[in-house]
Amino acid sequence: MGPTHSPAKFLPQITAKACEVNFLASTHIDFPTRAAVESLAQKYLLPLPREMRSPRPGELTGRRTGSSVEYQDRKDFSPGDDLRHVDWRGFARSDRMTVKLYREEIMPRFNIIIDGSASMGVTPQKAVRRLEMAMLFWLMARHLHGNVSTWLANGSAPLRLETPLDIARHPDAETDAPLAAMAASPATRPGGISIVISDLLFPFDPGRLPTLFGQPDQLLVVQVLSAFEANPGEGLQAGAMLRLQNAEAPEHLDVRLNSATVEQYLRRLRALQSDLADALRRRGGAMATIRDVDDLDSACRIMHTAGVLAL
Amino acid sequence: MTLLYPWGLLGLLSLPVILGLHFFRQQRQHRRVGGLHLWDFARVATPAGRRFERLHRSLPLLFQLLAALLLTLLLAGLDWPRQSTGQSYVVVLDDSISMQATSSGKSSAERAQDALAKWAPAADSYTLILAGRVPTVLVGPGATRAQFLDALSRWKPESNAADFQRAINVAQKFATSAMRVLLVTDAPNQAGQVVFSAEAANSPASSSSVSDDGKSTAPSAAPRIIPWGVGSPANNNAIIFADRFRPEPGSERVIATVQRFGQPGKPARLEAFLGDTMLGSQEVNLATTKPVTVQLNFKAINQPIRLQLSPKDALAADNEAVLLPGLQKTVTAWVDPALPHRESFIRAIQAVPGCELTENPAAADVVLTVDRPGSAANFGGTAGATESSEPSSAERYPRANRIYRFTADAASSQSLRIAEGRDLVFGEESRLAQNLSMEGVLWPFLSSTAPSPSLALSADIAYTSIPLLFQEQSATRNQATYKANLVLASTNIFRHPAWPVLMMNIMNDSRENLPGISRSNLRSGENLLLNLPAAADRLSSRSASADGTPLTLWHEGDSKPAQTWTETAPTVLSGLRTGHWVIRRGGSEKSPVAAEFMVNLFSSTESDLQPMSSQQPDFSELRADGSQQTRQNFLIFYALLAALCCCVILAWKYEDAGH
Repeated sequence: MGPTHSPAKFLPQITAKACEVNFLASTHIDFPTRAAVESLAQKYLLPLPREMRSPRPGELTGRRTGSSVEYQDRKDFSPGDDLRHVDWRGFARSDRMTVKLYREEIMPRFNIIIDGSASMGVTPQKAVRRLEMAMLFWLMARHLHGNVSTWLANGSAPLRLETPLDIARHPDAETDAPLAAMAASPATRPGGISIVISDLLFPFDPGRLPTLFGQPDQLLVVQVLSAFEANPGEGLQAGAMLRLQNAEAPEHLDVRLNSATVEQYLRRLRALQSDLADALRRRGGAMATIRDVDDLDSACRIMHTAGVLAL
Repeated sequence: MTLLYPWGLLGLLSLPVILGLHFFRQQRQHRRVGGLHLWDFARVATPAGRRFERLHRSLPLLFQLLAALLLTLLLAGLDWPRQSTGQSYVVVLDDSISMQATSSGKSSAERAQDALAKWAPAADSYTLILAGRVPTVLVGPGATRAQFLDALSRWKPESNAADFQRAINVAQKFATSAMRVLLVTDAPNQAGQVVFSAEAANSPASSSSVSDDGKSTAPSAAPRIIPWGVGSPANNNAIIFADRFRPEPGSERVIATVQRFGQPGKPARLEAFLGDTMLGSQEVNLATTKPVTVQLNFKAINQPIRLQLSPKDALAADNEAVLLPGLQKTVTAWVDPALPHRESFIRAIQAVPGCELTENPAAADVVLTVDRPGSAANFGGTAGATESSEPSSAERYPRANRIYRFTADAASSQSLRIAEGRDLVFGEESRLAQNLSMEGVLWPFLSSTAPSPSLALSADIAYTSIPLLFQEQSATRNQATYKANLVLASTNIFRHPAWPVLMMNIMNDSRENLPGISRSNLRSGENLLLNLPAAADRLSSRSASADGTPLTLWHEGDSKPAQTWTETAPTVLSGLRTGHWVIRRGGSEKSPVAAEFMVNLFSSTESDLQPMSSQQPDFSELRADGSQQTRQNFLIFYALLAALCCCVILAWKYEDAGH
């Protein structure tokens, strides 16, 4: 982790204050990594798709022709064109009726979908990292003056949050299918940019996962893993007996951690990540895996390398 | 079962440590994970229930404990001794030639071989030491009966003496208190003296020591020495000495001494052979046991002459002798024409047999010259080093091994002096002073300080304090220069009986330093002086011979040289066994001969068979009481080592496999 802090201590503070104030007020909360997250949100950008379906008019300049004041091109008049845009002066000079074209102004729509299952809290660092990622994307979306919606997926209908800080108001759900009810929710309206923050450590079909989020213009997935989930062999003595406790169900598994076990687990994890990344790439999306023990800078570099962030 | 190093059992302390570490590691750590579906492959299968699972998981622990146990046993030296009833013996066997003496159709050596073969228990181990002039370990230690008997069957006594004291000293190095030293000889009574002295040296009274607090400590245990006599007394005729020389050119004379050992007997006949041709014979009266000297004269012969005494008797080895031609070393002397009384020098030299005079100083072995004042070879100077214009002694007299300088007159007598330490050569022990009486010689010396210019040497004046000759420092090792402490112009030594004796001693001294060996016929045990060119000039060349080829010493009948000298040849050879010896320049049997000599037995001790006797040992004493010899069973060691390796491998394998 970057700044040293104790997540277990600051989380209740955030929770208490976030319940009382709105976003503007929440920016004044003493958030230990707030400065780092805000700095990184200034540094990085969200990658926008080349085309966005049915965006609302907004403040962001789009690539298509619209009604902004920014001149883009001109074309010959054809019936149906807005007479207000006819270049009368040009018509007077050249006896040719042309129409001025202006760039459109858009307001992109962002859906930040946060995994609300208990697996995201297996370590305090992991819970903090989820919050940091949610805040980072929320801030970057706000910088684009986009229409940002934050959703907490906990197995049932996703909850819409005012800000990512509202995560703390909702206990983690003990479910091994946090994204199960996403398909029918407003969070999966066609278009827009969906950002999913989850550990993806639940049974799912990597090829079909992107379909759970409807037809977004862009789907970005950030997988947050604890250090043990990312590499169980790191820091553990070979042959050690482990009881793995499922955070989302009252079940456990006794394993002896040796080189063969670790290798097999990593092989399966990488296969899962690879399949999911391939499925996302086919849909123009991107995926990055970060660890809870990485500092924020490193995590952002990883996401930038994976195409989840842009400069 | 025994433990050689019981302290090694401390290794058992590692067992609880391993157990503790195992249970410490067995404590499960709890980890919360996001999901278990990626881990389902790692679920431990327990097909036979919990008990089987526990046992299965304990395999690494079991192998680790077993490995620690095996390592502890290895450290403690676990052993099941092999052949616990076996006993070790050290057999000291008389290797002297007298063991060849035959009686009743069998020699003492054959009787010893038969007796030992009949006695030697099969399960015991043996060390066989030959007691010759130098003790030799023929087989062992710890040889089996088969090895022992095999070595015994190939043994033939051929040493010219038996040194039991040295052999028993060697035997005691191999033997422990539980062992027995069996001394097999043909003269047990003589050997008994050695045994008695050896046991007395190891007795508790002599070997016990007194500690600091005044208490006597335990004596060091010594092995028991048991004599075993295999000899038989017999009458024996022997040639106890023989030599040959040329009394005058063209004639050869052989002198032999024959002795009867035992009861007076019939006359014997001494025959001389050249190959198979008899040169002559003479009857020897052996009515008494006193030595009888026989003389045989022939024409000059340059081949070996074999002497044989007949009839045959108990010991054949001393009835025969081979004599090589005697060495004829002629000393060539040069007398400086400037010497006063030169005729006296020449007459005295001509009277010495084997000497001749020469007019060429470069061809002389001995140079007698005038000590010229200011000469480079004067007192206190290094010969040939001070004046470069005058040639050095080595250049002027390249062949000479002795140079004597005499003071001509009193004018140069200031160079004379009294002896000072190491430069004194004319002492009572000097070869030059043998049979030399200087009493009555007018011996002028120290004319400046003495009350009289000359002094008659009397018996109360020691030669050692008034030396006749000083040895000067020489540039080469094989050339010695002497300065005579004598003024020729004012001495009467030329008319004194000491003069021819002195000249003869000077000539013989030079003769002994001529290249070659000192004698060609030796008695067993006698030392041979070697003055080979290679050995004589070791300072100039590091190789044994001047041209770099090694010198080798061959005994007739051997396929390998007895000794090889690649760097420097010795000046004395000793401990030679009987037979014909040849020194060759090169390592092959066909290399050129540098020198040859013959070693004949000529030993009254070996020829006297009267002290021989037969004496059976007390076989009940042969086996040691109580303590039995054991051997370490290395099979146990290797088995433990192999099991340890297996356990380590299995423990590592199961540990890594995740059990």
